[in-house]
Amino acid sequence: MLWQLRQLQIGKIKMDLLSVRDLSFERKGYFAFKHVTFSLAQNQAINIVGDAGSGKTALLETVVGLNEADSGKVTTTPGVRISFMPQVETEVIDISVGDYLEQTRQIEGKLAVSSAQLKDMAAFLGMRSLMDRTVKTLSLGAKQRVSFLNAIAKRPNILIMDDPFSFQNSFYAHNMLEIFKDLQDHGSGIIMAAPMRDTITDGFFNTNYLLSGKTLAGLPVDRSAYLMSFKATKDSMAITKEIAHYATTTFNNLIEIRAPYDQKERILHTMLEMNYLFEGMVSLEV
Amino acid sequence: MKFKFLFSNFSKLLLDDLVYPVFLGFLVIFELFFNLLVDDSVKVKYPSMIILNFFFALILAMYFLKKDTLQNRYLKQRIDDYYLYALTQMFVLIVFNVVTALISGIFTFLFSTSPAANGTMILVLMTTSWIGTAIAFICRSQWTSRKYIAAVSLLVIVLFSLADSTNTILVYINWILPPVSTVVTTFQEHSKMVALLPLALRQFIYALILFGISLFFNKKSYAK
Repeated sequence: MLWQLRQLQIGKIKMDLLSVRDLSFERKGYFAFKHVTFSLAQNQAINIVGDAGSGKTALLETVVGLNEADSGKVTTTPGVRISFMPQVETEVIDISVGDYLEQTRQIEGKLAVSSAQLKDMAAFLGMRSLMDRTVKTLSLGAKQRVSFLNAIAKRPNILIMDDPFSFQNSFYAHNMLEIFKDLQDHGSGIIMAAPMRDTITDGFFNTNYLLSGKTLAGLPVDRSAYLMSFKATKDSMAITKEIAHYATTTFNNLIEIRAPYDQKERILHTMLEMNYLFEGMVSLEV
Repeated sequence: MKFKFLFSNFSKLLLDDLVYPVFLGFLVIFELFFNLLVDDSVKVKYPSMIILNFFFALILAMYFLKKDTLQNRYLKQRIDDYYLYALTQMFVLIVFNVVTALISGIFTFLFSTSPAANGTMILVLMTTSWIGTAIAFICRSQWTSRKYIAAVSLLVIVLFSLADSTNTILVYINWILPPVSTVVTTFQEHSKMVALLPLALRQFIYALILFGISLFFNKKSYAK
């Protein structure tokens, strides 16, 4: 027991924040999902992938208590703060972004982020020029970022997000991801649902699930590959035998490599180390 | 802070589409034309105002609760305090009912020299509208989990509220029925405002009980 406490203190053991056991939810005679079981620990990030209508939203809303489960149980560690970012905010907010964020920050009390931190994060997400605009007049993308800021203002231990990038360009999505990472580094657990595996979040999630046929299962390894182009320079070294295995064409100092999904980062890193210029990359559906 | 935030949010729900001010305006206009259009008898005018206040409060509360279900789904998760949320809703509607009762009471032009009679007149209108609101609260699950049962229950309760409770069948269960029709018949029999004071108190207690029941009855469907 003492050993476990010591390990917890030095961060070797991650405390479970949330536990979902055999959860099922029926809506109008049809199961939205059945027998879902998973748990979320500190510093863990879970990605739930599934087609439109597969029950992702229903699952997340049941986990946060917005739906009453037909069976199963959701337990959270006492004292954890849960924030939920819905896919589309339903509240009609007719006050300015700045006032709204400040108001929600104050509601959360002493544990919320500071006013200055929230303003910095808003600026990081491109909201600086929109702070005086009424929330209901914003575009869907900007509203979604307001909803995200609203969720993180609480400084949550568990952040649950329903398709947070659906209306975002890659720039804002990357910045939002930076904030996830920061939260994760500070011991929070993150659950995100999205219709497909997003290249923006590659490598961020520790656990990937597929919600399909109303049940949750481990997400199969992505079989998609990428076609990467590199240009050789006079300083380039000869490519290794291992990388040559993936090379498809070499023409006029241009090398094209067909990299499997899970090898792409390593190949890119190696090629850059060998002084090749990275020209670009396209995804190949297999 | 949460209370202030909720109070402002709920007040906006009622005022956003101008539904409350517009209906209140209609009520006042109707009162002003009552003598011309319907009857100039006090025995008709005041009971009509009681029933109008009852329906005004009932419809306003139904409109409010439906809008709340549609718009504030995720707000409930953020507030995460059922009792604070539901009690603030009741408080906001009670405040709006007080305003309605005061304005509609003033425009009845039934003031007398007796302050007790004037006070009772306003109090009866107020407590009647609280009953209307409380009935809507009891059946609020018609917008969530009990779509048909709650809607039918609402109709039945409204029917019993307005049914003549002095008839041979209902007289035995008179004490359990919402006392709105009793107020109307009592006023028509006595034509004295102060005779309604005990009934106003009864209505107040009845409304409190209904609010209390709705508070515990709907806890499970909070945020659904």
